[in-house]
Amino acid sequence: MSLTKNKFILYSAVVAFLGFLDATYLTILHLSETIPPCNIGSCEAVLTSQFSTIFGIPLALFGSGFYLSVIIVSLLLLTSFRRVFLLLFYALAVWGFVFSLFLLSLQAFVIHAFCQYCLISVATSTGIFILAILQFRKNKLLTKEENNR
Amino acid sequence: MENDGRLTKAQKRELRKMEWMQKAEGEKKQEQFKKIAMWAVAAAIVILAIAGLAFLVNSSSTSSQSVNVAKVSDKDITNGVKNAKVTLIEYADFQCPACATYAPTVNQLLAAYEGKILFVYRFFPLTGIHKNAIISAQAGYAAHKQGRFFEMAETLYDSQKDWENLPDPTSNFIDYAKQLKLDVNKFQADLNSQDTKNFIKDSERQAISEGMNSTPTFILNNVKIKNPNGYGAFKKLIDDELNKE
Repeated sequence: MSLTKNKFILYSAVVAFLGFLDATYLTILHLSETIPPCNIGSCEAVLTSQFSTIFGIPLALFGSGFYLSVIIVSLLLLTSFRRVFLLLFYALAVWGFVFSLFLLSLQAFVIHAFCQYCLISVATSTGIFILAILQFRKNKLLTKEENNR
Repeated sequence: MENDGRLTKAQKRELRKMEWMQKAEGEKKQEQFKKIAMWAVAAAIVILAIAGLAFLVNSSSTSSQSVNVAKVSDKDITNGVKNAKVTLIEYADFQCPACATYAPTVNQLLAAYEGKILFVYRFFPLTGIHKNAIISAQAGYAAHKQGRFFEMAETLYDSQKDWENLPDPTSNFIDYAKQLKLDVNKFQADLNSQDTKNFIKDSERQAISEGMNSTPTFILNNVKIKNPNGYGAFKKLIDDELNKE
């Protein structure tokens, strides 16, 4: 497993980095304001809603953690490939995608406002999910070829 | 050895094997080095990104800016002395949790600077996100008509959790008026009067036209300040204004 053979994994790491920038920006923004004000902008309505924290931990921090995990697992796959890392990669991709869809529906149906930063995160996690599917298909083809040989 | 200088076939083979092994080992080392370098670069990028973002957030939120807001008039709800050296205007919404958090701090400041400060409360109901913003503001204005605005404001903030999600919090507000020993009939009439509704609507429009977008927003002597973290920080800002020549 070398770099060139794993372009989907490499792309995932890059996309995850973009997601990491997005989520970390929101995390720092959240932590820098001890008392988040109420805001009329729709993004702030989302970011200060009751869903913006889970047990007092900002949701954006979970996002940062998620994207950092994807970066680390991608790097592990690129440097010291193991099957378990690949499975972990698939699991993260699916989890991120499902959770993003959940947050997107919260914005649409409960908060009735969309936040551009949250939409960027939906895009990046969807990107990782698609790359994971492509990787999965490629792996399946490879194993088929090996079996046919 | 008899044929010195020359190597036997076995020795040549041995030598080639050693060379090959050295090369393989070198490649392996190189590969390992590559891996370590990759991790190091990735870690450096992530750390730099975090530092950069922290810098970005800090530099964008520390600035205070001069603003043009309506001059304090007779229509305003005020507390303190007219023509004081320091005027503090707050744009607030009774349903905003942050305003409720700041309310005790503001009261503490008003007590500490009695006679030196003029405090102005302006309604900025965030109708888009708070469904009871308007009606609670109307309750505040109705209490103002009996000269008891600040007592009602304190009660509304203290009990915010009780009424924020009610479909119609009017009966709660009437209870508060009773507790404050207001003229309940007058309060009830003022709460829903056209005059009150107009005042709140006008206040909202004015705040938006002045460029306000969040509550609480504090204007200290015509400067929109970044919301201070706690009483000490707030006190320092006011002291600085008082000490200005």
